[in-house]
Amino acid sequence: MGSGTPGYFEYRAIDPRDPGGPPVMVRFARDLITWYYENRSVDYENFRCVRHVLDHTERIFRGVRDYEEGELSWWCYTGHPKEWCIKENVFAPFPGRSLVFAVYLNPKFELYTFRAERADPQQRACPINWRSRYGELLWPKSIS
Amino acid sequence: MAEEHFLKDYVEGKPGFKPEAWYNQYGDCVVYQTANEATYAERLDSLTTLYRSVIDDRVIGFQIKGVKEILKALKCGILAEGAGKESDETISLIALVIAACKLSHDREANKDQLEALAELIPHMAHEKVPIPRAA
Repeated sequence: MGSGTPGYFEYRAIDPRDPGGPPVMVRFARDLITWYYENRSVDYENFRCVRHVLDHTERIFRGVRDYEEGELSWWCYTGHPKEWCIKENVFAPFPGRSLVFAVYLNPKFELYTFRAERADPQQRACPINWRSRYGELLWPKSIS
Repeated sequence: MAEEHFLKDYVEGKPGFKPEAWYNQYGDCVVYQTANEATYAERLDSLTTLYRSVIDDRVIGFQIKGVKEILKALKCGILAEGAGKESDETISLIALVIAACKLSHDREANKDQLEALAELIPHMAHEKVPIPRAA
């Protein structure tokens, strides 16, 4: 965990291509981290939520982009952090009944964005309208 | 009080906020936000996502994805993998918003969402987005 690749922070996560196998290393580019720190300090604090979602992943979707290139997939991991930063120096419980936290990765497993989304009222771990927005629910394979 | 940030070794100086548009090369998207508040996303259409403040639900920003495709459709060949910062070009943020609305293949946006997006226009009237230039 940490800086395995120069210019990146790396963090272990479930590999959606083989969920029972070895983990995949998700990469946070240093310039992305720096940009959030210098320009979106509240979101920078919420990198903590990204880590929580990667540690406690509830769902993984593929097919996030309409124009995916060949076999390359864009990924969405979801979960419910306990708390998050809502404005400068203010932390609050994450409203997990109505929102779900989504972490988006590109085909190289590089983090590119993360955000709260309205949750599906029937499936709190899924963003609303997930059946039409994403190509496939990859993990877990079946949900009740 | 939150515990020490796990990325603290990757940053220096003071944290801040700038209401500026940014082209995110890792996601081929442009993000723009007018307030330093946590948001939740609300899909406008296949290319544009609104960001609403969790504090009062007002629209304070958006994300436009698929920027390379949008610019290709507009015949603005200014993007290339690995292009250097020193050769950045800029595109008007409003032009990008209009292009994304025009090129989206679906039309899910309702009147309230479009009005909320329009309310951001005075904030972004002069906003330019630096985008890597084609090599």
